[in-house]
Amino acid sequence: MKLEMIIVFLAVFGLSPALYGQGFPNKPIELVVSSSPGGGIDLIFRLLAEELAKTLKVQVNVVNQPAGAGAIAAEKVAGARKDGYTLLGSLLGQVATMSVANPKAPANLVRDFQPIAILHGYAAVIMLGRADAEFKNLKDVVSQAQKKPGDLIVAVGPVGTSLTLEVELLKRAAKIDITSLPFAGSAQAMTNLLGGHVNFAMASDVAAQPHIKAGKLIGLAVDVESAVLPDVPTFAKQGYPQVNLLASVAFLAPKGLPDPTVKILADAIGKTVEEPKLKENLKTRGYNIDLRTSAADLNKLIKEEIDKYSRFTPEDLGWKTQ
Amino acid sequence: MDTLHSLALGILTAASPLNLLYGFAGVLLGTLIGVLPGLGPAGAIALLLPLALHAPPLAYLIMLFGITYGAQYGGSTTSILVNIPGEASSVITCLDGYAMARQGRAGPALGIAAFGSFIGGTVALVGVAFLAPALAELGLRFGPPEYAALLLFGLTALVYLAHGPMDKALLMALFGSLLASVGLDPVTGQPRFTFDILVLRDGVGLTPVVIGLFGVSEVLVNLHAHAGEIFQKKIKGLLPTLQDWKDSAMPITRGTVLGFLVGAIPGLNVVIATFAAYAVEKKISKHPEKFGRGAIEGVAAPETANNAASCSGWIPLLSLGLPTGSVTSLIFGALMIHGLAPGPLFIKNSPDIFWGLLGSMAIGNAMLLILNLPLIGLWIRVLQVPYYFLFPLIILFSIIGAYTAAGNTGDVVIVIIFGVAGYLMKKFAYEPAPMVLGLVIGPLLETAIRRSLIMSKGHVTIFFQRPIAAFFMGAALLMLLSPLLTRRRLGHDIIEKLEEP
Amino acid sequence: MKREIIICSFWLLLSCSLSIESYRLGLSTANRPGPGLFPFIAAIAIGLIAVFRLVSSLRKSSPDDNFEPGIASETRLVLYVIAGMTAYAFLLDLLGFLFCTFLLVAFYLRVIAARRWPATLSFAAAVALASHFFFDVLLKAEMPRGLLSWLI
Repeated sequence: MKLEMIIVFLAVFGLSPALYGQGFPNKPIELVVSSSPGGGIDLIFRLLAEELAKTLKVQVNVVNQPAGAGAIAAEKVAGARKDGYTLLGSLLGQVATMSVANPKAPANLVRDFQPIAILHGYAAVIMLGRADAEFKNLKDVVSQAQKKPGDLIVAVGPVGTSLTLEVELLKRAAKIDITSLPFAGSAQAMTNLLGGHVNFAMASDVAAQPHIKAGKLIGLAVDVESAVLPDVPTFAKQGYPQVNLLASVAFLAPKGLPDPTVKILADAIGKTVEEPKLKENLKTRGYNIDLRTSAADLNKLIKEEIDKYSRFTPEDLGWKTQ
Repeated sequence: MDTLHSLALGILTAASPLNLLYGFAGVLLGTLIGVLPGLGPAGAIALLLPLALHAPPLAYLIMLFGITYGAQYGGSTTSILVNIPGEASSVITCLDGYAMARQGRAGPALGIAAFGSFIGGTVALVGVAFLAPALAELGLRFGPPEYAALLLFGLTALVYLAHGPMDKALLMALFGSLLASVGLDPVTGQPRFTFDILVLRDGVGLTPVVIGLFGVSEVLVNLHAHAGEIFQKKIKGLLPTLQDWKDSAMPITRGTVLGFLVGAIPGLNVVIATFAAYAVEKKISKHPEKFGRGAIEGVAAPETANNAASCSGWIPLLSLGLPTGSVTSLIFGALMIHGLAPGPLFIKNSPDIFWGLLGSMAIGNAMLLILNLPLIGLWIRVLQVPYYFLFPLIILFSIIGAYTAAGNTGDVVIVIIFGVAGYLMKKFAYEPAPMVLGLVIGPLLETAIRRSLIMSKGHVTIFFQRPIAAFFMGAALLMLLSPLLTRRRLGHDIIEKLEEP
Repeated sequence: MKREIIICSFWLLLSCSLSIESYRLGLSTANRPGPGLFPFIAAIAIGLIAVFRLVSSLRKSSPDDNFEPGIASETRLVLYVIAGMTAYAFLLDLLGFLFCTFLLVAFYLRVIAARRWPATLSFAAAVALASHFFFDVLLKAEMPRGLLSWLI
């Protein structure tokens, strides 16, 4: 009799935290970030993690897993325990790309993940031209491109990134033919632009800002209003709303995470982002802070992201199957 | 005059107690990181990023910079002692440095490496102070066609790297560049040779290949009945002899200049500077056959070059605000956190930071020299541990190095595969150095050529129409044809070819 | 000479398979080189050099160039080292850094170096603990915890 009571006692108290998410979090949380240390999105996640740890009162450890262009990180979290202690910090576009190119892959954005929070349009991509060239705005670019199809060269990023894909969207929307020359990232693209080897470059706004301030480069268009370069008009404003691959970073958990846990995490992230010192810091770094945490919002954003990337073939996205 | 004045002020700023403390921490950490294969400055700096919010800006940056060039000092240590390059740029040091260690001359090798690093770093620093803006502008002129021509010219260095027959070296180089194409094609994004294995999409990294090829294979070759005697050759002195100094003087000078110039070109890996320095020394040397068997020039020149190159490698970032690699990108981020946007106006707007950093590099190099010299005695002791206890540590070291490079066991598998490959290569008398050359230069050259052809819409003339590109193409042709021009070499080469098995 | 044939066959095999694979990747699109072009050239070049070496070695029966023969015992030791490393790689995530290190060092000392158990175990334990302290605690290098996560 007594033994049974003890067992029941243990069972009830053992299960209830799992059932009601009570006591979450009570051990360190692992945030798997799909970039190498210091690269790309690593910085913003580290900054957020540090503050999040204070809000949640547990350690939030950033684990870098850059392999396979984010696929390994995604797979790891998709298959992790649904207890909220393993989360994915990734570029939403990256996970969307994988899911669009190969819907049957082990980590599908819609099927395998529960979104916790999304920082919508956290950084802007800007199209740059040289200050001493004849292109002063997007209209000039388009008209010149129409006159000389294939002649103008734009330095873009690696295949499948928004730096490259947005140029494709522009080409389709404006029906122009410019040659895309892929480079490893914003810095290389700008270097070649400054050296006069290409006519335009796609870069992140934060990286471009010093050069615009120094008067060497001008901003022709951005995909989302930039916090650091508010004067540059968006593609949409200049007549090309189709160029809209806004970069967003997302906190994702394995699908099926209990709602109370989701709420705790989402609220904590919301609080974190509002912390004055961090907010200031993020702003100095040029990030737009547009945090979405409501379920409706998140699902809408995810659906939009999938739709945006569905406009491309797997080859464009860099996931061509051999 | 102005520049010297600013530099002096910078040194004074960097000599404040707080900055000295952070600087020391940085170079110490850097040396440690350099010694450990796999763990690179990038990883360490990333781990320290959260600290950026709490530390004073200049001190923090001094620390980060210290880590980067400290790593160049530390990397040569393991190359010389156990044939494992701590940093990719220390690969070449393995060739002669390790041979010297086997001859009981690890002390002189380490000593010359330390002094060479000091001189290279310090002189390059002065170069940066005076020439940064000019070199930055020059660097911008290098577009894809210029890179292609330059790399082609660099590839002719292959001729002078190899010991044995040219065709074997060529096989190795071609194999290296094939290996480098595993992964995503940089131009089209298409996976090449990945056979649907997900981890192969990122390619075969340089670090694990080199650790396996040099470090592990060496252990495998040494494990036989006489393993106990590997390092028992009488230790011939802890410090370089007068003769060593005399032999190293010119290589150090040449290494500095070469390293400085190569490092200033944005986007060229520091490794290339070391290969170039080694090749130049071997070509100029009166006893080229000594290279690979313990020639001190083969340690002096590359070690100097890599420090000079890593110093001048800052030019694109500091003068133009353009990061050229993972480390420079991280420093870029660190500068941004403190609101110091690096860009063309950086030197003008934040002269105290710029000159303070340069000053700290002068102090840091001195610190590193003082730090590393006494350690030589310690390292020699390590070598005297019986090999039976040493080799498990070396293997462990290699595994950890590979794992920490990317955080997954895939790289460990690569170390194993190339450990075996390196072992077989030693048995069949193939050399690893040309393979590394192919591995590093192959993809860079391919990408440069393909980008150039995209720019020119398929016309090969682009390489000859642009002045800088044409210059290097001409130089490359000259290098290739020069053996034919010297009659004596001509006869020699043909006889060699006929005689070799 | 026989060795030369073996090694040249290896190169030829490599050359063939890689040139086919490169060809499949596409040699050129529009007027620009495709992803397969450069590997194709490299693979073909390897093949040509291999043929050249094969032919010239067949034509003269000279002694091998500095080929060091491997004795059976040496191969055995090599295999042990490799086996140890492979096991380490596969068990690392499961057992964790600390235990794998211990097992590896112990294995090497015992099987290859033929040390006695006391020396083997104590050295292995010392190395494992020191590495754990160094890499996990000091450097926070995020090595796999494996069994440790069950114990602590």
